Amino acid sequence: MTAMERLITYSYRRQSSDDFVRGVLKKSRASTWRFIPMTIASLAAVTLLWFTLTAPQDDPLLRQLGDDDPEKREAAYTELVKRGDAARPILEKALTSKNPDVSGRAAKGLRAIDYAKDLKARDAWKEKAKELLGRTGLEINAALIKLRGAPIFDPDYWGDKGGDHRIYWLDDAWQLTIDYKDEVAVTATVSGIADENVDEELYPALKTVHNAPKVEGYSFNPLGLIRAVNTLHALGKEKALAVLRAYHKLCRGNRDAFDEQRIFLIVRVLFEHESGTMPRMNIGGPDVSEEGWPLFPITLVDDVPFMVCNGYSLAGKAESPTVHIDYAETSCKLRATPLAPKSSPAVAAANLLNAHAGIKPYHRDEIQRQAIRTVEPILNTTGFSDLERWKKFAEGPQPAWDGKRWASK
Amino acid sequence: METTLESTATFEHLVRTHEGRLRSFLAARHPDAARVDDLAQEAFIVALRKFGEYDPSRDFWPWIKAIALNLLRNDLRRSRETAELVDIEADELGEGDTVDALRLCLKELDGAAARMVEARYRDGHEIETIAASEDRSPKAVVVALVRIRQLLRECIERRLR
Repeated sequence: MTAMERLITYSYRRQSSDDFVRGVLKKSRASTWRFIPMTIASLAAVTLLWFTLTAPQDDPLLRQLGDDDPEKREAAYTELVKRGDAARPILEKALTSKNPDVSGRAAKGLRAIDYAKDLKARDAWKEKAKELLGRTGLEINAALIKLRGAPIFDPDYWGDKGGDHRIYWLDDAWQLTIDYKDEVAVTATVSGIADENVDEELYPALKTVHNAPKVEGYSFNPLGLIRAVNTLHALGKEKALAVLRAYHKLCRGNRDAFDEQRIFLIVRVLFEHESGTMPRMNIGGPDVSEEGWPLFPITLVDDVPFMVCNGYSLAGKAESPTVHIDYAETSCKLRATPLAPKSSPAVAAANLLNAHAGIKPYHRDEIQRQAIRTVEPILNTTGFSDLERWKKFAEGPQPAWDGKRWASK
Repeated sequence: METTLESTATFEHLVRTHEGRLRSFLAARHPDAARVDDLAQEAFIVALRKFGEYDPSRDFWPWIKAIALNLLRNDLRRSRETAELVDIEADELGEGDTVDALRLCLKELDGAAARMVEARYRDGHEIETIAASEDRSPKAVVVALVRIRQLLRECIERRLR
């Protein structure tokens, strides 16, 4: 029997979570009698269970976060950050505090924990990347699927005199650049935003910007754009602009792993001009006409963004997205509300295609694929043709927006 | 030690946080599905008893997993299922709340796929029995089940990503 078969068999027999937890608690009460002859040291250790783990309402550190003495507040903050994930429930509880100093420190602490976690992940990835040297592209694909525990997507690829280069996403924080010579990996570099000594306060938002889609219809995922726009929207105009400028600065220093053009797409959706249009993106000639699309290449249908062209052909130098950031700063306001899709991506895509009969078949297919990408984790259509996937999606039960993603109803 | 309400609540919180992942981890490795929940419960009880050995600055998961792995090895040794020890270290499945994801994936199966999976893994029917009721050859059923398992695996990976 394979591991998968064992899991399926078990899934039909497992107790509910509540029954399971009740069973553990019952057994733990029965074993309480064994505590009586325990040594003082063991008793202290079990008491530690109470104080060091996650009962936020009882944790003295939660109270200490709001202490009158600033040194004590700082000490509590330092201790909680040191605990890492174990302190998360306490900090999440502290986020709801009416004392702005406590909630502010809690938010800062959660950011610091995430940041430290990403740095720890980077070190692990770096160790694993060493094992990839000397391997071919196919071997590396297989190794990465195993290391990630999930499929990999087509890497960005380019070639030059130095050989071939590919960039793979390792997780939402880290990318791997592999340089191939004679079809064998000669260098493997792990890079990400946390490497760049960025302001910890801006880091989570920078990460969502970095995970937003590029100006490529064939890889465009509306969900990444919604997340970036909504994360920046929550920060307010001034901070959102600061994040976009900070990301642009990172792109200037690392053109391979970062892509400044995703900023264009975010600006067009995050900001609104009273005319209802945004300035043209001067990054080449698109593969469809721009006429009739005020936010080209983006259009919003029921708050779901789609990219209506596949890309641009450039001869010369592309415009910098800072021109558009400046325009947003001086001439636009933040959109009134965050994006809150009212339709499923399939319904939104169908509405778009029905309203624009002139969209060519090739681009119609791409728009359907964009819709499918938003729900791939719940669609389960691997191995199906694109047409079958679309039919399964469009004709099946439609997912609903839960504030962060589309989920099965 | 008196078991206070507070410490009980903390312990319950710990169990609730890690039970899905721990049960998935064991379910991927133990040949007897009926033993999985018992072993997982035992692991939490051992963790409670050995708490003095736990370094609270570290993640709780590797620690409870190590305890569960020891219990699993002992259990398999006792039941002489030594052949199953081969992939006990496999990390590909059961590292997240795999079973929870799997149950959602199973709900997405329909028609013959759902019937065959339930007949084989829920009801424990032989391949030949399923082949007869589905009017297919046994080989076709085996191939179909392999494909369905692959789809389920991909579905789990997507859900846990």
